[in-house]
Amino acid sequence: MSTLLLVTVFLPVLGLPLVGRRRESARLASLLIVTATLLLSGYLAFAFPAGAGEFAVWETSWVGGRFPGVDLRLGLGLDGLSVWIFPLSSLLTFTAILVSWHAVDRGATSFYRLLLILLTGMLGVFAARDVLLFYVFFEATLIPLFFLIGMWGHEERRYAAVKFFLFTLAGSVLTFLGLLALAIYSAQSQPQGVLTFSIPHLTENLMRLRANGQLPLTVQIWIFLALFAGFAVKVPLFPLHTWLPLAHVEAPTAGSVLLAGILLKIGGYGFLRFSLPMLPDASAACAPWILILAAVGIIYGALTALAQRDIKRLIAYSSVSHLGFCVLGFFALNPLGLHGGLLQMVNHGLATGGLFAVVGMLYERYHTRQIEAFGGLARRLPILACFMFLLTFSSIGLPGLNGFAGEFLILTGMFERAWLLQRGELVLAVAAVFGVVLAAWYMLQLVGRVFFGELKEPVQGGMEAHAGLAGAEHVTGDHYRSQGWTGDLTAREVLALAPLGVFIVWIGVQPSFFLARMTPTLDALSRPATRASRSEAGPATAAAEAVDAAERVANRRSAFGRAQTTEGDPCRYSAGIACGHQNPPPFTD
Amino acid sequence: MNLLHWIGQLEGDAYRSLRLFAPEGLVCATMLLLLLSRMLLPSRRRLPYWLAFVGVFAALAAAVMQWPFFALLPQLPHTAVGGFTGLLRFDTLGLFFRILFFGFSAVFILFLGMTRLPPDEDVGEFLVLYLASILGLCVMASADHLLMVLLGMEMAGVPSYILAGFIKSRRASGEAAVKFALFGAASAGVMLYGMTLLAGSLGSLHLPTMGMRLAAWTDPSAFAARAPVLVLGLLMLLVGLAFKLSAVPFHFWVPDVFEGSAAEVGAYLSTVSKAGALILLIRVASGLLGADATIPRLPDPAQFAAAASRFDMPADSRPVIREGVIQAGAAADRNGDPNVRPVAFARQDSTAEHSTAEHSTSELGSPAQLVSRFLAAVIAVLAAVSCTFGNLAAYGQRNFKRLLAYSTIAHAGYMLMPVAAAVAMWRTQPELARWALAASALYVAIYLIMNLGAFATTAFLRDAFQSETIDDFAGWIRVSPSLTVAVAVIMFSLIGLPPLAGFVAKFAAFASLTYSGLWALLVIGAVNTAISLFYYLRVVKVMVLDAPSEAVAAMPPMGKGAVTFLAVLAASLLVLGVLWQPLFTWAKAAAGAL
Repeated sequence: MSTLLLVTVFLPVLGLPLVGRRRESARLASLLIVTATLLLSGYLAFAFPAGAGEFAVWETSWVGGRFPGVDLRLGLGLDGLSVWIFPLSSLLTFTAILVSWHAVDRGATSFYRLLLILLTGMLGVFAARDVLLFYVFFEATLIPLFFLIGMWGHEERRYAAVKFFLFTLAGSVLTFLGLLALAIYSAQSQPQGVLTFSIPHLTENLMRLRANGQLPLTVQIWIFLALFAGFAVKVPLFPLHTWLPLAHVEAPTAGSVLLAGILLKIGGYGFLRFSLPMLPDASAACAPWILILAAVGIIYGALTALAQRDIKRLIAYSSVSHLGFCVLGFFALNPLGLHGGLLQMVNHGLATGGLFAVVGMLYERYHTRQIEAFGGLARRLPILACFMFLLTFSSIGLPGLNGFAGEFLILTGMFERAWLLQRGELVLAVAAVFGVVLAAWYMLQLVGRVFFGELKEPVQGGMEAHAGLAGAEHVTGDHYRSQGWTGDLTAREVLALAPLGVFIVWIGVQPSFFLARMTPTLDALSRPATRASRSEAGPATAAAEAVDAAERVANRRSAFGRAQTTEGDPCRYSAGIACGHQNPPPFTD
Repeated sequence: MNLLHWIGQLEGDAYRSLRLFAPEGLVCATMLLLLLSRMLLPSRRRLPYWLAFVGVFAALAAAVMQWPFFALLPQLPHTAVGGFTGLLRFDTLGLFFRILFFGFSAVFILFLGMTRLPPDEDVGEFLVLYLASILGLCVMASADHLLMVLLGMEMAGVPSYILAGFIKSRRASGEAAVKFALFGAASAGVMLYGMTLLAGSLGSLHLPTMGMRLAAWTDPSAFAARAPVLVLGLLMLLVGLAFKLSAVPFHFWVPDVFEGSAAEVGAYLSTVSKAGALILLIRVASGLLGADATIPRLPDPAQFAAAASRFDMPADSRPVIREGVIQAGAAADRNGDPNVRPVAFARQDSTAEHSTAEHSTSELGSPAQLVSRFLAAVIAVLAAVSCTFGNLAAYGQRNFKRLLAYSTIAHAGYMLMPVAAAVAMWRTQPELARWALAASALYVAIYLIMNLGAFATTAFLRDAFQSETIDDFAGWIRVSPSLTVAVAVIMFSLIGLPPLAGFVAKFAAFASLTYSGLWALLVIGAVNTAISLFYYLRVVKVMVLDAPSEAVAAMPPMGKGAVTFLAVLAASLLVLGVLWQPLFTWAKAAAGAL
C-alpha cells in the first residue's frame, strides 16, 4: 500500500514525457495518466479501513544527520483528514481535463503538462507527513496554477494570476515562519535537539511541551497567527478573500474547477493539520475571533453573490460563503463541527467544482457568462440542466444530498458551542443559518433565471444554434468552437460530471461511510483543542457538569447512526486506540 | 634559536604551504601561458578560452584532490592549518570556497566563450584579469592575517575595476569603472585605517593572535578604556567588507556599475566576488572570536602519522592534553612561528568556558563575548537593511541588469543572516555556530548557480535584442519556450520557492536564525521574501504571459548553446532543491574545521 501511495502521488509527473506535442495525443495521454491516478487514489481511499489512524505510510530519510542537525523525511501517508480530499484531487483533475478537451487549443501540451504537475502537487500536499514536504508541495501547486490562469485565462488573466500568486505566497511565507517556529520549539523538547519536521513527531513533542507548561499561550498565539496568515488567505477568510473572485472569473474552466475544488481546501486542511493539534490553546483562544470572521464571510459572500450578474462571479462568491461554513465548523471546536467542516470541504469540492465545470460548458457554447443573457435553457439543454440542478441542490444543502450532511453537522456543532459557552456566539450560529437561506436564494434565483422562463439564448451562439443541434457526434473540436455549437452535453461532458453526481448522492444518503473514516484522526488531532475550548467555558465544577450533560445530549441527538458511546468516558471521541481500551468509533458504517 | 635553524624551519613551512597552495599556482601558470599565447599565437582566437578553461579545471581538480588531506586537518596541530608562517590558513572551509571559485570559473569561462563579450584581440587580457581576480579571492578565502585580508581584497578588486570598464566603446562602461575604482579605493582606505586601529589596540595583525589577546583582556576597566578604539576599528574594517559584499549602506556603486558594465562582468561581481567577501568576513570574525572554539579531538595515532607524513610533519607532533588545554607536541613547538603557536589550543568548549574563561569577567560577559554580540548586532543590522532596501529598490526597476543589481544587494542581506547567527552563537554554542556557517556556505554555493543563470540570461537577451529593458522581453516564450522555462525556474529559485534550490538555501539560513534566537531578523527575512516576489514574478510575467511585440514575434529562436547552458543551470537548481543532502553534508564538513 505504501509503495502504491508513492506511485500514485508521482504518477502524474512521471507521465509528463508521454504528453506529446500534438493536441489530440496530449489530451489523450494526460487523460489516461489522470485516469490511472484516479483509479489508484480511489483504490487507496476505499481500501482505507474504518477506524484506522494512518494508512499506507511511506517514509524515508531526506536530509538528516547528527547533532546539530535536521531530520527531514520524505514521508507520505493517508489519514482521516486526507482520505477523501486525496482522491477528490484526482477526480476533479479528471473533470478538469475533460472540460478542457476543446476549450484549450493553444499550447495544449504545456496546458496538460501543467495540469499534471498541479495534480502531483495537490496529491502531495494532502499525503505529506513532513512539514517541509507539505510546504514544498504547497508551493509547487502555485506555480502551475499561476501559469494556467495567466496563459489560458480570460481578459484580465495576467492581473488575476499575479494577484493570486502574490496573495497566496505572501501569506504562505508567514506560514512557513510559523512552521519553522513550531519545529524549533519542538526541538527544544528533545534531548539531542534534533530539528524534526515529521508531522506526527512534531505534534507529539509539542503536546509533551504543552503538558509540561513549556508552550506558553503567548508563544502559541504568535505562531498561530503566522500560520493563520497563509491558511486564511488560502481558504479564503473574509477580509483576505479579494483575490478569489478575480482568480476564479479569469481562470480557464479547468483552473476554476481545481482552484475551488481542491486548492482552497489546503487552507482548511492546514488548520486541521497544524493549527488545532499543535497549538490547541491558541486555537481555543482565537476561536471566537475566527468564528466572527467566518460568520461575516458567510453573510458577506452570500449577499455579494446575490448581486452578481456574471455566473462565474456568483459561484466564486458563493465559495467565500461556503468556506466560511467550513471554518465555522472547525473553530466550533467540537467533534460535530469538525466532522461537518471536513465533510463540507469535500462537498464543496464536488458541488462547486461541478458548478464551475457546468459554467465552463455554457461559456463554451455561448461565449458569455452574463445571467441576463440566458433564459429557459432547461428546454434547450436538458441534460446540462439536470446536472446543474443536482449541483445546485447539493450546494444549498438539500436533505438527501451531501451538502445537507455537512451543513447540518456544522450548524449543530456551532449551536452546541454557543449553548455551552453562553457568550453570545448564538448570534453567529443564527447568522450561519441565514447564510443557508441566502445560499438557497441566490442559487435558486440563478437557476430560475438561466434555466426557466422564456427561452433566451445569447445572440452570438444563437445564430447557428439549430445547425449544430443535429449531429452532436460528428462535431470535431475546431468545428465545434467556430460553429458556436449549442447542443446538449456530449458523452465526454457527461463523463466529466457524472462521477461528481454519484458522490454527491452517495455522501448524501450514507454520510456515515465517509465520516467513519475521518473520525479517529479527527478526534485524536482535535482533542487537545476541544478540551482547551471546553475549559474556557468557566470555573470548573458547575460549568464542567453542564458541559458533560450537554455533550451527552449532543451525543444522543447526533445524527447519522452514531453508535452508543460510554458516557462520561474521556475517550469517548477517540477511536479507543490512543487511550488503550476499545470504544466503538462514534460514526460507523 | 639560531638563524640557520630558523631558516630551515621557514623553508619547510614554505615548501609545505606551497604544496597546499598548488591550485593557485596552477592559476598563476595559466595566466602566464595566456600572456605568452597572446604573444606567440595571436591569431588563434579560441585558444585563450581553452587555455583558461583547462587551467582553471586543473586548479579545480587539484583543489578537489586536496580535500581528503584537508579533512584530516582538525586532527593535526594548529601549525598544520597555518600556511606561509601563519599568513594564510588552510582549512576545509577555505577549500570549500576555493573549490566553488574554481568550479564557477570553469563554467564562467564556458559562458564567456559562448557570448564572446571581449573583442577577439582582447580575450587574453580579459581572461588574465579575471584569473588574477580569482587569485585574489582565493587569498581572501584563506586569509588569516590582516595583511592578507587587505592584499586579497586589492588583488581581487583592482582587476575587477578594469573588467568593469572593459567595453571601451561605451561611456557608461567607463563611468562604471571609475565609480567602482573610486568607491573601492575609498573603502579600502577606510578599512586600512580600521586595521591599524585594531592592530594598535590588540598588538598584532595575525587574526588568531588578536583573538587570543582579546580573550586575555579579563580586566573590565582595561577593556572599557580600549573599547572605543576597538569598536571604531571593527566598524571601519566592516566598511571594506560591506563594500565588497554590496551591503547597504555601501552599495551605491552596485546599480551603476552593473548597469554600465557588461552582464558577464556583473555575473562575476555579483557571485564569486561576493562569496569572497563573505568568507573574509567569516575569517575575520572567527579569528577575533577565537578560531578554535571547538572541542578538540585527539587524533587516532595511525591516521595521524599518515596525515602528518603527507604534510612533512614529524610524527611526534601529535598534540597532548595537559590540564584541560591541548598543546602541540614537542616537535610542533619547535616548528612553529611564535605568532602561531600559543594561540592554537586554548580550549574553549562549552564546559570549560564556564569554569575558565567566564569566571573573571564582569556581568556583561567577557570581552570576546561582548565583541561577539557587537559584531552579531552589526552584521544583523547590515543584513536586515540590505535585504529590505535591495528588495524595495528592485521593485521599481525597468532595466533587467539594474533589477538584478538590487536583487544581489538583497541576497547579500540573506547571505549575511546565517553569519550573524553564527557570530551570535560563536562563544555559547559552537556546534550550532558551525551549523550556521554551513548554512551560509550552502547559500553561497546555490546563489552562485542562480545568479550566474540570471546574468547569463541578461547577456543572452542583450545579444538577441540589443536591449536590457524588461518590457522588451514581452512574450519571449513564443520565441524560445525552453529558454523561457529555464529563466522562470531561475527566477522562482531566486524568490526561494520550493522545490528549487533557492528554497533550500533560504531554509537553511532561516533555520540558523531560529537557532540563534534572532527572531526579528527572521521576520524581516520572511517579509522580504514576500516583497521580492513582486519583481522576480514580474520578469516571469512579462516573458511568459504578456503578448509579444512585433519585434519579438519576428525573432529567430535562441541558439542551442544558450538554451542548453541555462537549461543545465535550471536543472541543477531543481536537482539541488530535492537532493540537497550531499551538498549540505559537504558544507557541514567544511564548516566543521573552524
